[in-house]
Amino acid sequence: MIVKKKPEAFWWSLFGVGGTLAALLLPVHIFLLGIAGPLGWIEMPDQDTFRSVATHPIARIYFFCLISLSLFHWAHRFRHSLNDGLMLKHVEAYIIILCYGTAIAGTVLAGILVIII
Amino acid sequence: MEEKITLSVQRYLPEVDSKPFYQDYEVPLKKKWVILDALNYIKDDLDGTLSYRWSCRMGVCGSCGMMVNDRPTLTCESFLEEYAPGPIRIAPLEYFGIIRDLVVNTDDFIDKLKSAQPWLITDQEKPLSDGAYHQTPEEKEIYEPYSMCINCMLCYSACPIVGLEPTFVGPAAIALAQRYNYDSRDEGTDHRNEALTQEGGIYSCTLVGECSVVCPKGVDPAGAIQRYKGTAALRWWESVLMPWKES
Amino acid sequence: MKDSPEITKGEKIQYSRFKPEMYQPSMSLFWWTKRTPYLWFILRETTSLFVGMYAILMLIQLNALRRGAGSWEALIDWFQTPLSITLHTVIFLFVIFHSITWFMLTPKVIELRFRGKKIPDRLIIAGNIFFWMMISLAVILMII
Repeated sequence: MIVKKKPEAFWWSLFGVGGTLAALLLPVHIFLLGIAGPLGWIEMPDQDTFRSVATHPIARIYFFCLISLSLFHWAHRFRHSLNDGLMLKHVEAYIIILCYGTAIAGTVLAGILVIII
Repeated sequence: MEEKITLSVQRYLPEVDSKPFYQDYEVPLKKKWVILDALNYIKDDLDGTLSYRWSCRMGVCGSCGMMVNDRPTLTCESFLEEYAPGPIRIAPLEYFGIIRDLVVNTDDFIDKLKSAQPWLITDQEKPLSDGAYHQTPEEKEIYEPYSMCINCMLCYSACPIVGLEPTFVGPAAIALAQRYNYDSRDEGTDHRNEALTQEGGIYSCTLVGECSVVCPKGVDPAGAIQRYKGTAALRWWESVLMPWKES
Repeated sequence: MKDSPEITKGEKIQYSRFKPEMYQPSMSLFWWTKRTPYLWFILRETTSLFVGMYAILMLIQLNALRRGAGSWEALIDWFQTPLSITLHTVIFLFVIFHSITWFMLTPKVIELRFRGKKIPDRLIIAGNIFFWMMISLAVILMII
């Protein structure tokens, strides 16, 4: 019965899980690869080492989940920010397509990348 | 000489002007006076045309809520002294239609409250001979904080979503629905789910969180709404992954 | 004074003589500047942009890894430009803000009980932050 309703519960679940994953894992990723590495505080991994890490089955799943769910987290929150913060409720349908559409596209891309890497 | 404080009160007199305006009143800054006392003083001694709602003067009836310096406040609980030297800006509760001066239209709120069905629902009422519905102190403790709501609507005026989305059921109504969902004697969760998960239900809330901050009774509507989001999401996944469990 | 309002059950009361126009205040586009908590709220919601941005940066990283050593070196070189470091610092600060606000708000969503007693919010928040630190440490140890 609930399934036939608008899938708000579904989007919210993805938002919640994505928000948790992003909160736990993104800071350390950004810090290591984006700040500490380039500033020379730690050594940047070369392509070979990093690739051998990233091709481990668990790493593939890890990257896929982290990227996809972070995108869904963004999509859901940004949709509400546009709706409420910028009062764009009247174009909600377009916002939904734009936000979740981008997240779905990113998920597909992440899926392809972690498979062929 | 007696100390004075200025109350800048928003007036709306539809027969005079189509827009609200502010009017200043000087009242004695007495130690034991709350804002409501000052308004009563204005009404009695300065300007009998001022309209506002109040009743119990002790934070129970929930009718004297107003915006005091842009914050939703029960005027019977806020002492003038805390706002000295003033001026204190008094306006009707935010996002509601204004009927006159500080009096707002509560029709919409009452309808939303009803849609959440905040009362005990049982599938089959027990015959009187079966005796009372029993409940342990532990079972009572779970819903008790939510039962403190006095319907003062301060949380509605604290919530921007109430202003932005006219269909949003709102903090108090959802908190009260949860008060009964959490009640061990209640069987009405499915009945309430309809109103709470449709458009304008829990998923309109983006957790600004101010409803819980302004509540004079320590109810946590923001928490009630988020927890219901979790429950509803679990139910959704259950109905997708285990459709045979659907009743 | 003859128009006594008629009240029908189920309908809203229609006042006539004594209820002229109701005033419906409208909301400004800049409503979130009116109160400080609203401003913090909008800032918190804005962090999602940076979360999304970094997800895309991760896609770029994976793609560079896939294309080989040359692409990866080029990406690393770009990472060392001031522009990239500034960008990453800004993203980092916003994502940290997301993490902290997210962990502070989890007690609103999850209510844990131990032997019938509600576990205090502060304990849940402290647990979250501890778990976050442990996970971050684990990732650091794995990469270095």
